[in-house]
Amino acid sequence: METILEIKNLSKNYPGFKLDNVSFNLSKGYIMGFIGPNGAGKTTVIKLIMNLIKKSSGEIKIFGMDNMKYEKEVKNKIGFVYDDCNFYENFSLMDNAKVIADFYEDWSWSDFDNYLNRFKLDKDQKTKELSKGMKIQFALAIALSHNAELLIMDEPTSGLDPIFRHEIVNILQEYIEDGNRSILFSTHIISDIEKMADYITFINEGKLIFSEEKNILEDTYRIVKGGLDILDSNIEQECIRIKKNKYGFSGLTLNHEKLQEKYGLNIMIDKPDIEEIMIYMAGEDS
Amino acid sequence: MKKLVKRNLFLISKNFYLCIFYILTIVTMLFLKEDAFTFLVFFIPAMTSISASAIEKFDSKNYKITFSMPVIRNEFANTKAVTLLLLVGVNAAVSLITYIIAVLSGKVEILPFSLLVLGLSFSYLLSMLGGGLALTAGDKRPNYIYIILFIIIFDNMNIPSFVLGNDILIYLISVIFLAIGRTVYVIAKENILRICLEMEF
Amino acid sequence: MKILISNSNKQPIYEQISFQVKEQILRGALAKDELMPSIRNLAKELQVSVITTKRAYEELERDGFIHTVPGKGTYVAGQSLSSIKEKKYKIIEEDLIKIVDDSKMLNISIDELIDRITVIYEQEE
Repeated sequence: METILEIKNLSKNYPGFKLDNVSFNLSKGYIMGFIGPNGAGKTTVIKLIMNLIKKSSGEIKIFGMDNMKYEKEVKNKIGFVYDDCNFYENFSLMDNAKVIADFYEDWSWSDFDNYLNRFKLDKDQKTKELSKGMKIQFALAIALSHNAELLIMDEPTSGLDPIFRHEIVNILQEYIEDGNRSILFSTHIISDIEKMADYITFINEGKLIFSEEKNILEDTYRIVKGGLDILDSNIEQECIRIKKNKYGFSGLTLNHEKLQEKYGLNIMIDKPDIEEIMIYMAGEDS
Repeated sequence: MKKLVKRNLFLISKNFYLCIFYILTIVTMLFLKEDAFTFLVFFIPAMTSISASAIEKFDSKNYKITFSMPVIRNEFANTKAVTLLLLVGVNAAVSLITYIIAVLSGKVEILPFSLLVLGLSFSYLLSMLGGGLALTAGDKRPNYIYIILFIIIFDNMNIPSFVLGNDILIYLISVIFLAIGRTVYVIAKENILRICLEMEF
Repeated sequence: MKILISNSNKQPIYEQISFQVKEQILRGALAKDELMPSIRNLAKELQVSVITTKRAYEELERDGFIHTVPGKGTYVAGQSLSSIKEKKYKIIEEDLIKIVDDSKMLNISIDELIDRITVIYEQEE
């Protein structure tokens, strides 16, 4: 499997926050959901990939090339969609596109026109007249119109209604279909990415928690639930985090077989979705 | 670099009011009686500064996107500086052509060559100043500031009488203006480069 | 080909896919040598991740239900249904022999064994 994105020991120091030694890889042809609570460091990682900020240490390789040494070559093949899609408000979509098109070697006006048609956007409309969802669609149209092999999206769906979000997810699945392109989709709305993500990378408080095949996460993590009366140090040891309420406890565990053997019918074992895994691992103890 | 320059020119052309103003000023010169010297000293810096401001008005809102694209910050900054020179050159050429047409059609008195040189070099200095400020200021300054600024300058500009007629002095002053202008250009270029390279988001 | 994914079903999605495909092949709904959708196309249609369909296909291929011709595509296995069934029966029989042996070793009677099997059979429905 060819690696399209390689992050190695990436660190960035800020006065109040530190991105600490983050490493993960993304292979060609797959979608990676990049998740974590707000402020976890996802946007920092993306800004570092795009060389919008300077790293404190570490290595970033895209298409096998260092992202700083080969900045132009690498960025030619990256399409990006940011949450704050600030294209020039006073220009029309077409004018904004004209300014951008010249930067890319493989720009395709026909692709761009097709996407505008598909999104029902009027190219002569001024950017400031667009709703947020339409602005994201425009950003997506631009990102997809220069034969990019890596699509980087930073919270593209926040603030959008479910219909928009679903449309975007559809387009991303089409994008991934030929097996030659990858998507890094950073979000805190996990449900958008949950079904189609091949890999999940979870960041919290500047640290990498895991970067794993989604199926493996689904196969190995379980939520174990039971009454407060049976909650003992044994269970606490096997659980990554435990939540308690008046009527019982629930814990995230990787060792559900062990617990099932020991506690049998006294406990209930459930399969968590990715969002629940994140909530358990990033949330506060209750 | 060529593509980046083209882009800068495109940004200028999209600035509607700028184009109107450009045409108006030339027309004014051609059809009303104006002193050619003040025309040069006003027109070149004003047009250069406003054009530069038009570019920066766009760029200052777009840096995050621009620097996410395949562009090297060095090249980008240097192109801005080069564009400034280009603008001065183009505006100087346009103003000279206007001047020649005005002279040939008898509307304006022909300037002594030394004064022409003085006018051009002073406008070079002012252009670098105004254009440099525009390119390093973001869009904080509105366009018309430059027009007002340069109107004030040439309104209050009086060539002292001891200078007039003393050609050697005039050429000397011109050279000094050119040198200062070049220095301002270099400082502006360094600043643009520094701003671009240090920009973090 | 018909594949329906249930989100409420506890069974992992890749298992649901391979199970339904196997069932259709055994039933004859999918013909011998019929062309299967590509892993990626199937993922897109079902709106699941590529790795999910990949795993399903890997399992199907491992069990002999489908085979992939590099550069051409994935096809329903050419062998007849009965020979697939036969193969499966053989594996089940081998497992059964092991279970019976283990039970004998632990002194579990045949009736107890049948009871146990009945409970499990009914549980999985």
